[in-house]
Amino acid sequence: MRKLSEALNMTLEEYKDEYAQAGGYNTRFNTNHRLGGLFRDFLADGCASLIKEHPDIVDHISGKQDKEVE
Amino acid sequence: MSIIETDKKGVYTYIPSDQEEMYRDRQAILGLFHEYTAYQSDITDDDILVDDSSISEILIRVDKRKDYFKIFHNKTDIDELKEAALIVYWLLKFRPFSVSVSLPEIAQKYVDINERFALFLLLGAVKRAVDMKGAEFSLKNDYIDLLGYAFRYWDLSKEAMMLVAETLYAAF
Repeated sequence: MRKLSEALNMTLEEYKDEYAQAGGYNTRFNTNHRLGGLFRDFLADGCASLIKEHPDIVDHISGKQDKEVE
Repeated sequence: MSIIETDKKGVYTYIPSDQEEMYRDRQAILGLFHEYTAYQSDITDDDILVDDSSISEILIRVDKRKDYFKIFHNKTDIDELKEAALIVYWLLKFRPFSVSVSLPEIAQKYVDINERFALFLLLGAVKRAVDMKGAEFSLKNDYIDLLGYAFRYWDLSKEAMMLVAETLYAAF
């Protein structure tokens, strides 16, 4: 943190030096990691296993557990 | 990546995936929707309308976002949970599915079919990721209800949707 007055007076060279010292663009919080395989398969497998192993959850999502419409 | 420099002046243009790839993705989404609605006893595939142009829009917008990640996040691929969350986000925006039946009670029951399908997709993706790390997936109905309510009535940004997916994944 610095005072606004100081920030306003910062030269381009100072700014570049500081930026370089900071390591450039901050990617510390980049947590992207591909789990692998085709995304289509990933999604299809996930939905299929949700149906197979947790039919109660799918029932609940779909409203099947709500009052049936006659 | 599908963004290319189209001239020497630094102008870049987005080139959509080829039609075969778009078609395969479209079929995948429609196939999952079919699986989801197969659970319903009071409607059939003939009662469901699909806005194909909206499906294309969804796929293109997700594809664009994947390029965005490559450009602005050091060439990293977007992970599967984020990709699923983006599909869910655009599904909620474009609402490509509708149920057309004569009985108003049934029509009313399926008025939120896009939101419910989006919930199904998101939880399917989280389930798959949780399986891959060898943890046990389970959810309470109260939470599913809350998420469903949020999908219907809240303004969830793309980033919030990705956070929901990754937070759910991290919780197991």
